[in-house]
Amino acid sequence: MILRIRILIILWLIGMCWNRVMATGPIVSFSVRDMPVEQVLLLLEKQTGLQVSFESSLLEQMKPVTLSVKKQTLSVCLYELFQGYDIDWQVTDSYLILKRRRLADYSPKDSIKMVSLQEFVVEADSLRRSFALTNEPGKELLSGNQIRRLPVFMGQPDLIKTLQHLPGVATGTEGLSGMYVRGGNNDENLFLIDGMPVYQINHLGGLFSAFNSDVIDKLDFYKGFFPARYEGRLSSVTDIQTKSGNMQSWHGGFNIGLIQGLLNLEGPLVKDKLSVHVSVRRTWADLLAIPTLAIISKINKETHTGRYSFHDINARMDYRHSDRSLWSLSVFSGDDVFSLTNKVNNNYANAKESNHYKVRWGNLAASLNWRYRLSDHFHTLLTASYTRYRSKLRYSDEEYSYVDDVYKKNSVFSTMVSGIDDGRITAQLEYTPSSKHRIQGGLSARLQAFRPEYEEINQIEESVPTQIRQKNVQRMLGNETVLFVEDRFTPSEPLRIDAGISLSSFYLDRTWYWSLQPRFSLRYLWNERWSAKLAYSRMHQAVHQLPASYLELPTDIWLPSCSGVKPSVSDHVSTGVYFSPNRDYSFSMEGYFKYIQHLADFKPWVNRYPDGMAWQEKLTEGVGRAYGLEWMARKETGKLTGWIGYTLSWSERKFDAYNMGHYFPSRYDNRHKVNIVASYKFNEKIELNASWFLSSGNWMTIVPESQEDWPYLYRNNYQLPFNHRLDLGLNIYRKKKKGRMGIWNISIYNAYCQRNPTIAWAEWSEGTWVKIRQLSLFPIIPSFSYTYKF
Amino acid sequence: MKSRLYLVCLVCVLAFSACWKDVWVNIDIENPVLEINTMLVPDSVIKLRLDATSYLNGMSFRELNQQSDVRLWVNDEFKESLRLEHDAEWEYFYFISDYRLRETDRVRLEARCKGYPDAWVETEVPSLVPIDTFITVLHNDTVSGRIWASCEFRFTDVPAEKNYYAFTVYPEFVYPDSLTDENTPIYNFYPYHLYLVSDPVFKYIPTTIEYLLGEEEEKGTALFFDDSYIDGRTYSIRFSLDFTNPYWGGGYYGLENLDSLKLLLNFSSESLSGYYSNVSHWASKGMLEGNLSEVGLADPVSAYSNVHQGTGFVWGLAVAVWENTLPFPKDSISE
Repeated sequence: MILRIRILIILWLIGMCWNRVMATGPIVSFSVRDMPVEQVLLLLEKQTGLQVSFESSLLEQMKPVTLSVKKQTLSVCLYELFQGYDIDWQVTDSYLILKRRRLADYSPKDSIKMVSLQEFVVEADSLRRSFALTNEPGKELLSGNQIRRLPVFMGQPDLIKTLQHLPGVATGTEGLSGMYVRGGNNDENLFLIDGMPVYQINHLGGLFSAFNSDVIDKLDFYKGFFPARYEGRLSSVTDIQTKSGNMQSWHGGFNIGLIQGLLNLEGPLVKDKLSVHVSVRRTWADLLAIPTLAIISKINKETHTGRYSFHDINARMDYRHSDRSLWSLSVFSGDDVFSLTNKVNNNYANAKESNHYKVRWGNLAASLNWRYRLSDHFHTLLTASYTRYRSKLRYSDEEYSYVDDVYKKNSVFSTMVSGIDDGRITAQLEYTPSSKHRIQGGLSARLQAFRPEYEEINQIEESVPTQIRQKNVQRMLGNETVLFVEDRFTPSEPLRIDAGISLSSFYLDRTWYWSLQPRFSLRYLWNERWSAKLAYSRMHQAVHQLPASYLELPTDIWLPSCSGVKPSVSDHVSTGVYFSPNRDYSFSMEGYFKYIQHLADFKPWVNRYPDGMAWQEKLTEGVGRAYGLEWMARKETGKLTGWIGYTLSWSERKFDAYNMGHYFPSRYDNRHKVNIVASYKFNEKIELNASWFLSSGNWMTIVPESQEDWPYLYRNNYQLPFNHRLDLGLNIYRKKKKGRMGIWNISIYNAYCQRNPTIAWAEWSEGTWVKIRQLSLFPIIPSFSYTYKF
Repeated sequence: MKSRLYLVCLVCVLAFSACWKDVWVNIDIENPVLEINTMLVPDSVIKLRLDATSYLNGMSFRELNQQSDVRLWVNDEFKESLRLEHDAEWEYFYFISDYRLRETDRVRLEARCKGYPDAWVETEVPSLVPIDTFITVLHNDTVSGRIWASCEFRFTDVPAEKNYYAFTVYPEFVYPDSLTDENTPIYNFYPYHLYLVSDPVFKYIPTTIEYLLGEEEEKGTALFFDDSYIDGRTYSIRFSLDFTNPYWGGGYYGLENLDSLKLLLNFSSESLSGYYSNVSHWASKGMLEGNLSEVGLADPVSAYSNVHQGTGFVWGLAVAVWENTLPFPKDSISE
């Protein structure tokens, strides 16, 4: 009898669990691939009529979802969705409530234990409002899908060009991947891929960014408030998490565009234990450039040969050692190569001459991450990373002659190298003692070897060989240690405070540079629809990039701070009001003020490229200030999604060497900027995307004709006219059997052929009349690409 | 079908040819400022030339100088207002001081003229660093036609003090029979190449980029260094001068008939870094960045100036001179 009772109890318990899994809630059907979990929840909302509610940080760690559900109960769907994560749920009459699983309830084998509703802390963060209402001011979350959805240039989605569509991000030079965030410079943006910093972020002089959007899982972009764990750049942080490989089955795909191709493969090496994800991208511009140059040389009766190419390799390996321990190894390699050879035979002088130069620049980076969950309250993350940035310029010139029975040889072999080696170990600890506190802390030790200008020349003059080494061949070793701690404190439901501090020490050339960087953010929810935020961040930057021009060239060198140019420091105050009236829309208005000290710039009279002059002597220090307002309206649900952004901003600089020591506009002081990004899904197969921007023109320096031979110190004295451009893209999805899919992308860059100037210069006429010549390099450019996924 | 094809071609041509755009604007960006130029030499008075980048309200050079006030401070102590002098022969105005400069003086000059921003400059008078020895050997390879001089000079840096050097060689050939009425030889300057590439003190060597641009020879006539490597030490520098004509290989016309060669070595020390290196030809004109700025790819690079709220160049200079007179070798010299 007792046995029967036990069996009945067990059956009852099993039945309860099974009911929980199989029989609870409405029926749902959908099929998604690499979709952010927030959007999956939106689908569920739509199909069930339930309102999803959850704590804002709950889904931060979740990967995009690939899931196919056909006429299943909501519970089964949620079980599939959250398996492997510490998330539980409760369905009430009108709410689907998500919550972090409690330690007492946790069992890897049983993820669906009942939790009473009373134990939930239900915030008013409904899903569609979560971004606007709950995030730190100036923070944006993007997924790889969102990046790939925007219209593209030459068939290639571009991370940085997506970010350029956000308010507060100035585009810089038309068509290039510059980023000038809230009045900052291009070198003030920190890019992290799985925790490893990346220095060279562009290909082909800035036409393409170095980030392959197909490997991007999630991207956090900070421009207003910076959590204490981020350090080292003044204006923005882009923290990219790459996709981990699928632990269950092999998937892959390829993409063929006009000038580049991409191959993608992921899958388990050991099921549920070890997975790998590899993506390779390479341009075939060299296949086009080589015959083009050959034809030009033939026509001009010259012997030029040359090629240009770039490639990216992203690889990631994940190892799930246990439910508590997860290892991942990421490798990123991206290089550009450009070479040109010229051979001349002078039969008359009985001489031969050949010269050859080759430029190679790019990153090689690797990081090892170990996530370990000590308990439900303690999480640790240990990261070891190494980044190597190199720019190599090799030149050789050989001349042979045979005159009067005398054989002569003159030759020069020259190599110039600029680069950084950056190794760092970071240990982070996250402690969540209660629902009111989430404390993070850590220590990061970094060793950076700078080699701004290394020059080696082998020269033979009339058979007399000489070898030269530039004086600054020695590496400059910078040693940086960062200690940080931050707490997310929620004293009451509407109020949340993020407070942190970062202490960094940078040691170079027998000098210590100390920096204490407080960070503070406050969010107040008035009600379900309205919130307000206030944030302050002090940032510190001990490396500077010296650009030779407005293009992204390999002659741009990275330099550490020194006695002449101290580490830059910015104080950034940001505040905003956020409104989310209903499910579909959200609105925000943010204001900011940023003051930057120890900005580095060239003295007015020095060369922009390495010329042997000590770089410390080339630089001068100044200050900058930027302030403005940003408005944004989003629609994130329905067939039509997108945003409209408007920025009203000022960005100014002040250097003693320029403009009599008064403030003057920075080159990218774009007063007005409007962005409209829209995506319309006609049906499951066709999607139309469009983006349009309007921006005040960049500033340029015109030297008066009467003062061309004088030192002219008034920089950025003329503003170019407004820029605007419409890009269109059409995605055609062709579903195939067994979950395979082919995607055609047709894009039109600059659809109405607006002639936005990439470069401009002045030609004086009579009196004060000047002709501004504008060269637009990017007229209407149609392109297409094909992607196949399996 | 054909008409459609033509239409497509026309659209493509219009699209891709519409890359240029010229905008005419009328802007006034003159911003005239004062210009101060002078050289500060130990044991001499200051002779200062004052000018402006453009004149206000039809003002002349004379009126500008007459309406200006130039003041002198030495070691933070006000000394005098410089008086205006007029050189009638050259129709030239200049300001002159009564104070005679001394080595290591810290000098501040201020120029004021109504309508212009006040311009000021600070620099110091350098100490003289004498040359200990200077050895020159002249070679004449009659087989290859190459004529060159190998040289070595030695000097002692002043310890503790930060010194900046600009090293220039002026080769001058003397025709013994070409004397003036006062029995003074006539000097003739010849082009030459200065090879000084193996010494670590020098800040400049041609870079790879300059090789690419063919600019390496532009910098071959002066070299700059400071005492960061040689502070307080006696140091020797070797260099060679090549007088071989780069176009036809041999020496310059008439050179082989000379009886002697005289080399003048101007060895100067300056108090502020980079004066010469920045004011020299390549920096003021700008090679790569000059070209880039001309097509709008970089900010324009201007000539060197250390005058605040104005322009011009005020520098300190102490010159050490050594002359070597050598018999011109007639015979071929092997390596």
